[in-house]
Amino acid sequence: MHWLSLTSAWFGLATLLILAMYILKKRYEPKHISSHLLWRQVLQEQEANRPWQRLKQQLLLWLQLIIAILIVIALMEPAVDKQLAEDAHAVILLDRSASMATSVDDQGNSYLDNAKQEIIDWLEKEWGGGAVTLIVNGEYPQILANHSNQKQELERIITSIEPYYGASDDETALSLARALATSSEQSTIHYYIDERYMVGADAIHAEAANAEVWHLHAAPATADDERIRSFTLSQEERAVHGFVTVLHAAQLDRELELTVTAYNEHGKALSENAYKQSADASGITTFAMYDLPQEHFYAAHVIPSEHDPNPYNNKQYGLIAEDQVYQALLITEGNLFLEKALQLMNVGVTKLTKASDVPSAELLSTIHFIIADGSYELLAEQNDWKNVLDRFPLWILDHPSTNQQAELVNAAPVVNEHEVTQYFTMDDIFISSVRKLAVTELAPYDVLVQYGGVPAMIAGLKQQQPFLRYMFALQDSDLPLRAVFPVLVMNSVDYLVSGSTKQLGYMLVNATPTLSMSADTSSSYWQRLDEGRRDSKRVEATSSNGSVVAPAVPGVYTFIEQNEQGQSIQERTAVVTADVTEFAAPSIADTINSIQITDGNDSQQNSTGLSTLTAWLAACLLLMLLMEWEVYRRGI
Amino acid sequence: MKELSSSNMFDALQRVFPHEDWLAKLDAMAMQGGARTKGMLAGKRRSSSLGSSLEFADYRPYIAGDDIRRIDWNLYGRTNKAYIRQYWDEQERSFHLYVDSSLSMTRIGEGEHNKWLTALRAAASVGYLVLQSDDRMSISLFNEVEICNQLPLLHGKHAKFAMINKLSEWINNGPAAVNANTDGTASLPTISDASVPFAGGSQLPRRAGVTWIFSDGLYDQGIEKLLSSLQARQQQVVFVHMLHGDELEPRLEGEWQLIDIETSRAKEVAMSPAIVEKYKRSVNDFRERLRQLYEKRGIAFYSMNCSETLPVSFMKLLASGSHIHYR
Repeated sequence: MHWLSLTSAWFGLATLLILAMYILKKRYEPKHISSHLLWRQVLQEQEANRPWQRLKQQLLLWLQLIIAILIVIALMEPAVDKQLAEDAHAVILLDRSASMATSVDDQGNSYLDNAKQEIIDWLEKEWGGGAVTLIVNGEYPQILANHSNQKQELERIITSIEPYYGASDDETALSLARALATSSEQSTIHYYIDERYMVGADAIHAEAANAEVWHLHAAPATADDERIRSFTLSQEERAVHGFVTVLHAAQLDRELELTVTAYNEHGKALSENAYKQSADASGITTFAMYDLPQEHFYAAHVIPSEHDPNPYNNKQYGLIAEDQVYQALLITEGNLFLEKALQLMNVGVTKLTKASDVPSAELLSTIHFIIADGSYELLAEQNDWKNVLDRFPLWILDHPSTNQQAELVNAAPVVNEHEVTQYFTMDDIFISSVRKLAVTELAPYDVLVQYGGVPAMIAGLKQQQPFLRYMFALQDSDLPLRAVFPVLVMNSVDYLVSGSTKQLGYMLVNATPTLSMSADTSSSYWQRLDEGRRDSKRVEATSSNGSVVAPAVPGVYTFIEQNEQGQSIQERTAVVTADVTEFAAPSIADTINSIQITDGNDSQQNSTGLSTLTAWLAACLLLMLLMEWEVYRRGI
Repeated sequence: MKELSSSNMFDALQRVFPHEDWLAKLDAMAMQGGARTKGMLAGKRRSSSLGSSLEFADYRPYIAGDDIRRIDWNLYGRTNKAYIRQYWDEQERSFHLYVDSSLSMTRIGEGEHNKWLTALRAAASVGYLVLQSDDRMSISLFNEVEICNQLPLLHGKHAKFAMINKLSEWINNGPAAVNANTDGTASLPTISDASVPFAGGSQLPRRAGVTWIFSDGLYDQGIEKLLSSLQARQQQVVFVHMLHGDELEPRLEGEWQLIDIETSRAKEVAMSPAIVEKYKRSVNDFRERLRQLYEKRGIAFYSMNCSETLPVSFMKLLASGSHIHYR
């Protein structure tokens, strides 16, 4: 059993009052009179309609009946349709995703700015001074203000909300808003979101205990939205070729204008090439450019039409894809499969045996990574070698001796998702022996493959360098004979050399890319390159756990590593892009409209206050008790 | 009649006439003669029969057997016919005073303002006046069922001491002595009937006279029957209606169980100003009804408020009727 309103127990005191009245109530006092003769006329009239007279005389009874009825009514919890009390708790969920930040209305204001203005307007005009909780979405939903009722502070917070371009967890934000709302009695949730809010219809339909107001921003009509689907650049000899694919409305009778601007490494625009091409009827137009100058990075920009609701995606940055020949230092007693595979990958191999001396600095300066095939422990014992191994991305292939072998159990192999294991399966692959590693050796790394119940392949960062280890000899396995082997080797090489080039390539905002950092690096930061914002402040690159995190705002950045003396020792360029999955999300407008139609009455119900009526009833009851006392006092 | 010591007499006098100078005032009053009465003994009242007084009434021819001393010889001399002179007879008158001693009289009113006491004292005052006028008077007390106490006919001024003595004794015994149900053995009739105490007629006056009834008249029935039998016995009836202030204007609030003192029946009434007003109207109606009933029969009707002192109420009675006057 639940007591929904314990405070109602105070009404129980009324029973004491009634009881007291009955205790004090006078009985009919006997009085001797000379004769009824004189009273007869009076009494006869009284007796003529006795039942009614009896009741009429029992004013106390009437009053108590009314009191009882009032109590019953109070128990029935009557409610009138009434606007939500002004001091109710308001939970505001603001969608600050890329779709909100980049979609613009006719005046050119972004949806996010509009939503922020709407919230401020709401604060100025409709807000009654109640508590306001402000939530924004993001990788994790954030509570920017909790039960605040300071308007100035709230407006300051709202104004300072920045868009979030990464993949945001919209569903969690929604449930957080609802959770915060249900914890208090009267709450209204205001959703300032657009139609591309990534929640399932189930989540929206989920039982909403509170009034919910959806301030929905229409998704830009996809048909009108001209956008660059892809921008790729390649270099052949001295010529730079560029390909831009533009998506637009089909049957568009318009000439698309494209400008490609080339920037140097300081973010300065050096040249601008303009191209015009009639829109293809299929809705996809590809520009092919063969006359681009060789520069640091490029920006392709399709001149947006007047009605383009999202000019943001008409611009895209590009980097020349580097087609580099990697050099690997292979320390092995001979591994034909591997050598052949590396050759296929176009990796130049410098082969050494484990007995070899440390190679010359000249040689080391050309290599990109080291492969230690069955010789790692031996080499690591030598300080010279250890220094060398620590400086480069390292790929270890173990040749487990008999006493190092792990006991294999009959278990299905497990392949965990990783760059290295892309397109790779362990189906039908047999490994005869796997080396058993201590937990301390395993701990810092991701386990990519488990075979026979033990880890067989691990990857991670070691000394800020990519690190990959196969705990089995390729000779002990039929892996090299399988079709997936070249793929595995290619993935492995890509993993080892990632970040070793002058360019970091493309990454998502707030992503944690795998970067190989210089050994001397003590600190690093991002600096924005595009749009001449070279002077803009640096963005901290390391997160709390030490890994490098991409900037939060899309653009072109230089990743600058500094040594302990604060000197820049390496600068690499990255194009940071916004999360575009949201743009492909289905519109939730229909779902919400259906909610507002079906739940229209409910939400109105939810926004009514019962307490006010209860107070009226209580007042009536008190009045009744007063009257009853008066009636009693006068002895009517 | 035994001799009374003077101190006893004084106490008796105090009981019957507690008001100072009241006897002196009574001495200044006299009973009105009224219509000719037919008494038994010679008295001071003109009788309705012819007799031997000095007042000439008529002549009539002599017939054999008449007293020849009554022949008017002068007339005989002139007319040579014998005529007899007739004179009005002068007779004393009988006053019968009845005091209602039912519970509605004896139990209502506190102390001096007790209805019964007031009625008894008023009757004593009337009796005093009667004796002073050399008439006869008797006082009887009747309750719901019978005549319970009776002072036989007294005559002459000296008899007033006997009357005062007897009344003093009654007052001293208190109303309880006269109530029919004091011992609780007799159950009271459920309907009060004024004629019940006089049933059979043996208790009614035998000869013509004046009957004063001191009563509150609160009888369900029988009053007309009583009056009829009184008038049939050639009684001039004077009715003194005794009501107490509590009955005229009750000051009641709240809820009361009203118990009829005679029938012991109870009725519950929740008092309100409206009900009290209605009651007052009903009391007035009741008095008016009684007055009309009596006046229709040529009976004098007086109202007396027992809440007032006897001299005050008695003087009002004096002023409102012609039965008593100042000498």
